[in-house]
Amino acid sequence: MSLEQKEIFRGRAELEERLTPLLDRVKRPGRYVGGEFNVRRKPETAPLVVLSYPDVYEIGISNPALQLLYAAVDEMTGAAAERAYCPWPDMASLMREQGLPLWALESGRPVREASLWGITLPHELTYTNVLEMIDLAGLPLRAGARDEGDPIVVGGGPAVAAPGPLVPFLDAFFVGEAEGRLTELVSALEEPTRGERLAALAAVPGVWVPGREAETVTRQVFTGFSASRPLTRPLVPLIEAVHDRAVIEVMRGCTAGCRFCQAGMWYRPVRERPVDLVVDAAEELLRETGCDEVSLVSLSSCDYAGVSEAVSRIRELRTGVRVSLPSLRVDSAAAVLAGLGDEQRGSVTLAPEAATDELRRSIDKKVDEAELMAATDAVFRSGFTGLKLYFMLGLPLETDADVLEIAGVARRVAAQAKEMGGGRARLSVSVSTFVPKAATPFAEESFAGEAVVRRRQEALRAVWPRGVKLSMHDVPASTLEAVLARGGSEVAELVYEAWRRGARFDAWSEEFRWEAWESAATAVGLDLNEAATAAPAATPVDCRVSPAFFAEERRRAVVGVTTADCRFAGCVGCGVCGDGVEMELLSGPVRVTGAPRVTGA
Amino acid sequence: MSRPSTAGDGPVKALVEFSRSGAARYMSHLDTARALRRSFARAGIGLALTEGLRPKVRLSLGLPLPVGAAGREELALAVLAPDLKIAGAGPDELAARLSSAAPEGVAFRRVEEAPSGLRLHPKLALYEWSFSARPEGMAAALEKFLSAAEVRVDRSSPKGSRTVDLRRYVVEPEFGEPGEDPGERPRLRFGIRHLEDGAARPREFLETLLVLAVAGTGGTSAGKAADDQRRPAGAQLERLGVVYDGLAPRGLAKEWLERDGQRG
Repeated sequence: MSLEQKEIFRGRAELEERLTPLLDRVKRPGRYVGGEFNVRRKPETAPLVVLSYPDVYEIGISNPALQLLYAAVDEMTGAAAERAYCPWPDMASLMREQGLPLWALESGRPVREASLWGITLPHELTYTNVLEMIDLAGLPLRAGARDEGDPIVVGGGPAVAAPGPLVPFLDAFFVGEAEGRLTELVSALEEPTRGERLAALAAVPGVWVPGREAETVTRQVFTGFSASRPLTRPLVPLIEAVHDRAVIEVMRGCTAGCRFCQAGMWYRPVRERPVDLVVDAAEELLRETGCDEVSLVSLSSCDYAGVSEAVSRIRELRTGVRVSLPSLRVDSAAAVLAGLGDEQRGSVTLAPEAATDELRRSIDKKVDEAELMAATDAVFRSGFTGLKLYFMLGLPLETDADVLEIAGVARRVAAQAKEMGGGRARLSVSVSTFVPKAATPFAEESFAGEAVVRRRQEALRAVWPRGVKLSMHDVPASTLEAVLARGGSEVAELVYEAWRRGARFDAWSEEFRWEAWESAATAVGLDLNEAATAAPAATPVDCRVSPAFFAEERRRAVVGVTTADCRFAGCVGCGVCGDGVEMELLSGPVRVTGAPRVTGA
Repeated sequence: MSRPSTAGDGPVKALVEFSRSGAARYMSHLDTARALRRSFARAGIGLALTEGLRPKVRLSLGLPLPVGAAGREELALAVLAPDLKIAGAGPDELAARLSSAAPEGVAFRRVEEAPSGLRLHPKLALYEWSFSARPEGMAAALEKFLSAAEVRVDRSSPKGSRTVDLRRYVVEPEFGEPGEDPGERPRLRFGIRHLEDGAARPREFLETLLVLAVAGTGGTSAGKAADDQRRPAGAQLERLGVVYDGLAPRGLAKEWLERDGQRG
């Protein structure tokens, strides 16, 4: 069936009749009705492209990537962009009871009437929600069982770096940044049959259709990023979301080089937007959103070369406008905070990731103890009353002493807070568990394993200073994340069986059901602890960073040598730049040398 | 209707009337306040800020609407920025600008200068439940309710539980059968008096009537049947208006009060 012939669903009025009685019976009914500021609508004759974030509305609506794609599909293609998020279990159960299929928020049409359904995959613990949404939409869970009238379900986002666990359930994967390929993607949907549509999609660079000839797929980089106008008319939700602010993406990519960080490798190269473009967009954004806070977002906004100028110019746009930088790097925090003035409020997060200089060098976190203490000092001097420090546990080459030293750092920073915060400043520390991710130098490293993680968590608790809040990741959830991050297609059956046993919202501690995963593992003959520490499965994804660079970075981790940031010290040969893909820095071009080079000390 | 003095001669306290419906019904009180603040900002109508280290815009809403309820004539107080210059802008024009900047389902009806010293303390609120199908035994349940000296319900919250006598608060409930118009729905209209010790909630009044209706037909009020009875299909709540202390009743609330003499 071609797009034009596709039957148009009954729409909003009928949905409302069926949905309204259910809204009385669920938590936060505003999750299910849309109606945001800046919602976009096209005639229902336009082909329907539904975009989804596989978590609850308040999380999904705050995701900038989905907002970008929503606007871009609407503005750049003839398709109608609509959205659906994962219903919370109370609503999912009523939908099943009443036979109400998952709907798109804008038109009320069922998602299954879409031509294309794009689901972003932010991390592994959303996989059961992907199955839940497909099932709630009334589609066959297995891609192979879908027929002509069903949408083509495409996964995207950083988790596609290791797509194995979702291969049976998704028709295709888009690898990388889709902004530059949307027109081609939507055009492919005009083919008359499902098979031809999939073939046309497979021909679009960055698309991988499992089972087709292509064995590898190269991550796409949006080379027009720097010159493109930031999103200025985003959806602003009516109910409270996790982030209540207007965001401008000032820069994409990060070359700080942290060896555990998937985003730092995945979004290379660094591309900066001109300050004039950012300030101009901020003015429009404030007008279109009615917000009084602009957040300059990127993986590391204090590394954006125009940060000071952009902050001061945006503040001058209107009285009372606040500018926030959500991701401060420890090594540049002191300088950036000094530029923000001393009347800050709220809290700041810094991520030293490891507590000893030696381990920080090993993970390529280029900050020493003195810099860390200078940064925390600057936080309290700036007037912030809250500081959160992020650490990881279970890193490669980590010793018990490295972990115990987290308590030492907490003790010293707590003393600073007491001295400078006048009793108002609070320190909290979050210790997550390191899970090796594909497309990173540590991809081949082993997950530390449940026993080691538990032992180190207990040891840290035993020496933890009083008065400092400590939170640590749930060990089973980390183990599961490791299984899914390393898993190939064989793990797909585990995901299916766990979903069948009621696993949903695995990233939510109150909803996480380890027993469902254990039972599923038994059913498919898998030992979860063994699977978590097994070698990673092969992936069809070429992330553009060369295997030689990863190997060199791994070697340098072992000898405790950092690698310079190519923005400031010249090309380190990661392999990303070339063939039209290049760094776009406000300071000018960086010469690409090719092979990995030994730098740093 | 008086016109806000927007010539820059000091802050003007404005009474803002708005309605909410559709998706906007599902906003909480705080969500609604945020949506209104954003509408002002999007419309380019500046609001005055509070003094202090952390200034906030001076906008306060009247009686909170329950989540899920539409509101026909809601009120808010806004202090317009002292430097606001809207040459020639009248109340209707301000309302039109705000409406075009508001989310779907929120419409601004008028903006006018507020009486001096006004604070939005509610005295009486007028509500209407409408139903997609006629609830069985409603008329009899209403009679039973009205003939009782007191009708007590338990109300629990995280702070504890207490018993509330609905008869003290509910005023002149009327159940209207639909007329011949096929679009018309059965409706239960009633007032809720706001006293010093609080007020009844529209939902607990409806649930009480539905339980009385079940009891009247010899049914039971236990288990799933009772649960379904308390949530009749397609029941929708709308607040038609609120009477505030020191402010003349307006709109539908005024008509309702005048129809059978002063009820408040």
